[in-house]
Amino acid sequence: MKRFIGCLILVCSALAAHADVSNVAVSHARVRLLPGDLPLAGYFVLGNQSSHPITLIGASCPDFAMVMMHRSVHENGMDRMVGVKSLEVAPGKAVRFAPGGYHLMLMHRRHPMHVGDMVPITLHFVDGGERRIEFRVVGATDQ
Amino acid sequence: MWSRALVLCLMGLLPAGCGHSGPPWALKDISGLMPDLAFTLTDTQTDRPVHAAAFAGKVVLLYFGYTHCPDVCPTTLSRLSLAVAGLGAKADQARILFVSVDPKRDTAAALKTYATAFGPEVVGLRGSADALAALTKRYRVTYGYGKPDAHGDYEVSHSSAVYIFDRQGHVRLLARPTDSARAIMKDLKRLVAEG
Repeated sequence: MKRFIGCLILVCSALAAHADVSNVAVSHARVRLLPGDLPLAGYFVLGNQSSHPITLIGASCPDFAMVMMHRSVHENGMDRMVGVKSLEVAPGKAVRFAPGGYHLMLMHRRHPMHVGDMVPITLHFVDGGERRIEFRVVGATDQ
Repeated sequence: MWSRALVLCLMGLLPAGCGHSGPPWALKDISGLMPDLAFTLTDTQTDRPVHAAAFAGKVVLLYFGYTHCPDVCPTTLSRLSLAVAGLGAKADQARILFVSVDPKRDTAAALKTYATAFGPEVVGLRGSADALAALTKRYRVTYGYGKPDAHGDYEVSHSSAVYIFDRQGHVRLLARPTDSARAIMKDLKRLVAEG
């Protein structure tokens, strides 16, 4: 019985540690608007204020059919994008999704968008953790 | 031909287009290393053919990209637009030419709307596959198409270079991703003042 309770506690704390993303700070969340139905970039800063690593594995948004994580790569005078399947952030560290680097790619918007709109994007973490963040829509020339 | 030009340039034997005196440029000086501005494309503002000569008298920033690019192209165009805006009343003396390397998706109407989003000095240009091939060969620009996904969407890799031409259509500077809007604006001011 004691062993069983011991195991249960261990499993529960392990599960809690992996799924707990409440100590993740997200700031500067913005989507850069382009005309028509062009794919848009989402940028933000994600800080891991917990004592364990967190792993971002994707994002979703009710306003877009598809959201992917990408990284812009500049190599040999060429620019291209690579898909990012997962991104680990060590405890106490932050990752910036910013122009020229990591970005969310938001595709096939479900309705017209305007500067100033707020877009709810859910960040998905490994083992089921989620954080829903409001991203502000900014203009095409926003730096 | 261009290697000969380079040699003559280094020997100081080429006039005007080479060896400009004055303080160093903030951007990379590529004076004399590329052919003069020349092309025949469709100007998406008017949906009519346009030759490079139409931009004589303007300082021209030439950049190649595509509208379905979420990150790099808008970031670059924003930076160029900011640099040109920094010219104040003289902003109209510069033009940012955005040439699409994805004519399949970038229709004239789409490019026109896109260019407008970045500022009044931005001109979207598109051409046939042949016209584009000739232009990109002339300026040693490369691009490639990724595999389409289930939606038919695909990525386009492309050169990051921004070539800057003076009012006489001679290539002068190269702006790279690491060059700030401030650095670009500084050099544009000088080129605009050259007359």
